[in-house]
Amino acid sequence: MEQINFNILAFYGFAGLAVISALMILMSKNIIHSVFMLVLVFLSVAAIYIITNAEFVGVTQIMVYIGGILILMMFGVMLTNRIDGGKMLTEHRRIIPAVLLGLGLAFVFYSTLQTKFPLAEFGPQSELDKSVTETIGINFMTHQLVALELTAVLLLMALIGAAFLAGSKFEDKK
Amino acid sequence: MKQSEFIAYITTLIGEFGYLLPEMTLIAGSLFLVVLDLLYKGTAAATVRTLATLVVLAATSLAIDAAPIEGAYLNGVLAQTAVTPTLKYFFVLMTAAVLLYPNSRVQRRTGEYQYLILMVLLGTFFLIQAQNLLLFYVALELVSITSYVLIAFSFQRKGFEAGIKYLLFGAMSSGLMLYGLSLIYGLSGSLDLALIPQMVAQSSDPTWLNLALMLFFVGIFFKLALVPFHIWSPDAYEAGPTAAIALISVLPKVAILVFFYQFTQLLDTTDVELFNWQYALSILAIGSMFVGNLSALRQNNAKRMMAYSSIAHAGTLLIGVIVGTAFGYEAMLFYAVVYGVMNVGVFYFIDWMEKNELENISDLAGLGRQFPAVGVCMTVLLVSLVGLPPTGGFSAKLLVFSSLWDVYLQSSDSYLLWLFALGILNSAISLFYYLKIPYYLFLKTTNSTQRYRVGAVSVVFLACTALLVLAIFFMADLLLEMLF
Repeated sequence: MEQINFNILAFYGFAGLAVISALMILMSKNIIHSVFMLVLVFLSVAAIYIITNAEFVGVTQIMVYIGGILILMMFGVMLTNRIDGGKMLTEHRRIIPAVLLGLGLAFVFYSTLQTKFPLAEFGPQSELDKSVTETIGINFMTHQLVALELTAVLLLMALIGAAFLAGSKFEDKK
Repeated sequence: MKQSEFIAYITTLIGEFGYLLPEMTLIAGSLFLVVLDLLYKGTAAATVRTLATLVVLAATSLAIDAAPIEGAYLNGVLAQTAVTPTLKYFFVLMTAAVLLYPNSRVQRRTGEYQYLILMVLLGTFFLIQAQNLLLFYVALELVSITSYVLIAFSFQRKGFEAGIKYLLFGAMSSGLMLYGLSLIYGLSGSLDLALIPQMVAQSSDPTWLNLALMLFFVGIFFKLALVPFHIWSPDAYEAGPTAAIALISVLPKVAILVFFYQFTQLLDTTDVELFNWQYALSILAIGSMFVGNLSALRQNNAKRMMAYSSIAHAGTLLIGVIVGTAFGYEAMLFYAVVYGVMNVGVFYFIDWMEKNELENISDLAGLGRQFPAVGVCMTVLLVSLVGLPPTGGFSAKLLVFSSLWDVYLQSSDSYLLWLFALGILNSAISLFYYLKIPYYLFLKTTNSTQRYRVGAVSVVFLACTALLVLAIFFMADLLLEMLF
């Protein structure tokens, strides 16, 4: 009997889960169901990252998306539900162009996937004596220092902008 | 990396940070503005803040002069060319002009407005210097996220709606672009622009590179509002505060085009057989010009008309990238400067209209006779937008199309000829809707007895932009010399 490659098996399992949950987000009419399906999508994507040896990205995914963004979204959905009273429903419009566009994009990806991905030479594994997290940290403080600093500015801008918009009131036009 | 190497690396990094003086002045100044907003709440707070912003801009332009460098710095993450300081001056001037708009009083009431305007400027500074895809992405997001917030700054339901629309489209395109960038990293093993072509050359099969470039280009086309990625732009332009729109319609587009030109230059240096991106860009340029101009014909709302006009102009600007020669680049930047000046003038007028609660072009009937000076200035600006002599718009179009013609003569690809012919046809189409405004201003009469006021400042502002546009026509070589 042929040896089962558990990595591949796990990959297909989680990838399938991600795709199915993403479709469920699309199909479900109740927005709360959609948010819970989003948890599944994020979780399975994080699992895929970990299977493919990108453990740093995987943990970041869990911490940032599931720990932060999703919880906020859930609070948002549930609190607005309370105010409104009724269920929040979503609807689909322009299904045909959307399906056509989606199929077109899928075709583009499918035809590209027919050829093997020519991965660049990243150097021998032995040179990387530092862990992934260490390497990322060193890169941030050296080569990508400007990007890191600029990200700080970007986050401050987003913070000020978001706080300001949240605090402002509609001014109805006469 | 060894300890000693590492220390040397850090030392050069710290030493070269001085070249970022203009950017750092801008960041420090913008933080000062936010604090000033909290400290000073007097009656003249809005004026004080505008003045403070202008001081920050002046300090920034002094810093541009103080820290000149040509070539790559900070380990190749950033690079300046001879044209970078001039472009920075141009961006600073545009920002200063936008701050003087008459109707932005609602916005000026809050210190955050000036802060966000400065952040757009900062993002464009980095965009034109970026030599690294990660830095490019962060700078682009700085510009875009600031734009989303600024669109919502009109504090009307419509503004928030347009802001959300812009955000959703923008997030989607950013995601696609990021996917493309990560594929490029996987293919080349580097995020530095200088290293990408030689790395890519190792692989012979271009299929994946084509996909990566396609995804990357989609993100860029969205930011440039090219057809068919333009759907967000009329709504955003209509709902956003005019001053911010005038800024967003010029600065980010020019900065992205500068980066895009550098990137496409790299593609030419690789041996890999890529898809014919010049051909694809030509189709988009022609499409943008047609959709922009034909849709603008039907608009009565002045801001929507300008939105479609900016789609068409983005198509024309793209010709500079398609041409890909040094002359084409010069022509594109020339066009960008002229376009910026014209746009600032026309949006100033639209802002004045909004202040007087005029929204539609048909409301302008007879106003030209009431205010001949304003009417004449607007006519000059609009004639320049069409691209007729004796205005800067004509010189700019002449340069762009002659650079295209040069390339056509060399390569004799038929699609370049189509681009040439249809581009000129589009200038003729644009004549109809641009000149609608002077038509209403001077030839139509109205029974309305409502009187409007035009301040001396407005007349001077419009006259300055109109004179600049005229001066660029008569002294085009002066501007070209300044740029290169």
